[in-house]
Amino acid sequence: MSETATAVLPSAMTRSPPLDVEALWRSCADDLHAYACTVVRDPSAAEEVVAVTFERALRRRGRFDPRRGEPRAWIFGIARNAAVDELRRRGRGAELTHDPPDSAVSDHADQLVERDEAARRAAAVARAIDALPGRDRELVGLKFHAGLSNAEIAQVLGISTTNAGSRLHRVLNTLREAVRAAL
Amino acid sequence: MLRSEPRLAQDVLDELDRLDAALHADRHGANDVPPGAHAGTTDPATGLARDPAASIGRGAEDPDRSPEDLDALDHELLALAADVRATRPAFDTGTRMRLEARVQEAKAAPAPRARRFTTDRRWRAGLALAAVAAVAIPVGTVMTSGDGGLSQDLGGDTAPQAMSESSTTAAAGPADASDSAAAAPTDPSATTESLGGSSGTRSGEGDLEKFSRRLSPGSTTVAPSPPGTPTTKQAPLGAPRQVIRDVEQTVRINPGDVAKSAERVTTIVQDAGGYLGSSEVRERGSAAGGTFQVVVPTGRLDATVAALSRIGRPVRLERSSSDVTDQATSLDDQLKDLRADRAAARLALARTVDPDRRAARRRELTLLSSRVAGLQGQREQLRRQTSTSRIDLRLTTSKAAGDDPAPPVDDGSWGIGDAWDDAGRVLEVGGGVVLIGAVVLVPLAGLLGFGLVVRRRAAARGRDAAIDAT
Repeated sequence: MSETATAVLPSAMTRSPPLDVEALWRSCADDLHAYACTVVRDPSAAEEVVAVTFERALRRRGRFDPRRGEPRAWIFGIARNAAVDELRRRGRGAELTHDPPDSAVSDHADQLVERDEAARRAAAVARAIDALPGRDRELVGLKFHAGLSNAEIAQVLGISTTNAGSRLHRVLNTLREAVRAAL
Repeated sequence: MLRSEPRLAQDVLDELDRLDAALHADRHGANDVPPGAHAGTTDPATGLARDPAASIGRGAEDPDRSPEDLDALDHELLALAADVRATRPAFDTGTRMRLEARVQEAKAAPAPRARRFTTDRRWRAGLALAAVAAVAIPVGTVMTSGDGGLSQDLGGDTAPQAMSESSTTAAAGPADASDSAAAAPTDPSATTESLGGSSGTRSGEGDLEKFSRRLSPGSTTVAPSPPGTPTTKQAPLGAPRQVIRDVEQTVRINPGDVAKSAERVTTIVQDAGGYLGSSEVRERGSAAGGTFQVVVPTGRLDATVAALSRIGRPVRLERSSSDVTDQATSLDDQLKDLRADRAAARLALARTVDPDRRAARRRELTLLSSRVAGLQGQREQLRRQTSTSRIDLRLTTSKAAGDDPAPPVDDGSWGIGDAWDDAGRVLEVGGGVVLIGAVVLVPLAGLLGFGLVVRRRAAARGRDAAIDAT
């Protein structure tokens, strides 16, 4: 079974202790941001989560044990806890209150011009992702947006690799059904 | 995981593999997209997801993949992966700059001083204190009750009071009725320690030896007199105790050593400052041996018993003791009262003129003087009985059936044997402490482990619930 290669870590990090937290964070900051946005659904909250992730990783770098998992999974675990803390602090399931205009991404939900099958499919996928329960959406963030392997996802979520694969497969089927229903 | 994980079905595994391949292909296609643009397959001009075929085409540019390989990939899965990747939130420049500022702030901030007691350390400290208390309390209780039990065990070894009565009476010699009535301790609380005849175990005799060491003359309490006796007044607890101590001892010697052993007895008694009350020696015959009644100062009793034991092989040793402090106190009080009465009677006689009345007062005075003399005699006898101790020593040359070798008599010194005993006792106590500790700590550790598991699962459920709430 092949695993999707994740972001290439700086070579200095692959073998040598102690953990270079800054290099690790910089190598996956965009993935962390994508994941955080998917979970908390608020860009400003996601930014706070990513910043707090760095601060906590910097404080806890002495606790990282390479025997217990990969550095990326470790920092994404910190990000997950930071996201949970942010959600609790805000005291609400954060709805997507404001999505700043992004010239690179169109508003799939409402303003999509359904000209062709690709557009309809993309809109259906976006709606399906929005409708997913929080934990399934989190899986989408970890697998598709952040590019973690199944083993890394299992480590972040604190579940077995088999359980992670099973849940991912279920999410995939949900999205596939949504696309088929839209077409 | 302690149990084997159920494996995923093969079709599920295959699909996950295909998903990984699709994501890999999409990423390789996305490598051509300029930085800052949406990662994945979005057309920057239209903002729409690119045609997956285009993605596949770009993936075909990957020199590591052949067009045939790409055709083998699930077209639908490729498209789905591309569409999901297209929803990836952007990481714009503004966000990047703000995060960079936070990173620099975090790096520049001083490292927080490690709290002396973090929550985890407080947990551990509390657990350690609880464990120490859990071990110390039962151990302390056991050891305390063990001391009480020891004295109770010794109390259980009391011989009938006739033993102490007979030895005391014999030692008193010729006595009038009042003497024997006063001298014979009738308190049932007299204790007798037996060695050899009653118990052959070393530890039990060690306990008795320790108890005998505590019976130093003139200062220990063996048992109080029974309360409620009309002529006996209870002495105050702090008063020095007066105890009558007697010993019966049998030592086995060689048949040819009777005379020599008898001489040694005499020498030992003289060295102790005592005397032989009576002695009988048979140097020949089947009943060769000797019997001696030894009287020594009470302070030299233990040393004399030990010395006599070393004449031959000790086979029997019985000790008896009787606390007569209350009787002595009562006698003293009665004497004091009688003397006061006698003094008053003398005064009254001196003031009386009438001959008849003077005769009566004279008779009264005589009676009082007689009673005073009697009480003084009793008091003196008690004093002699407590200041000296009697040893009924028997030297025997025959081995009687049932004679068990007695342990060495404790003469107060501390040698290798005592060291072994003490070491064994320490190991015994240490092993008991470890066992009690394990009995207490193992369930505690199990409970703690269970609590930790429950706590972790509750925390994980809480996190999942917080994410599900979004």
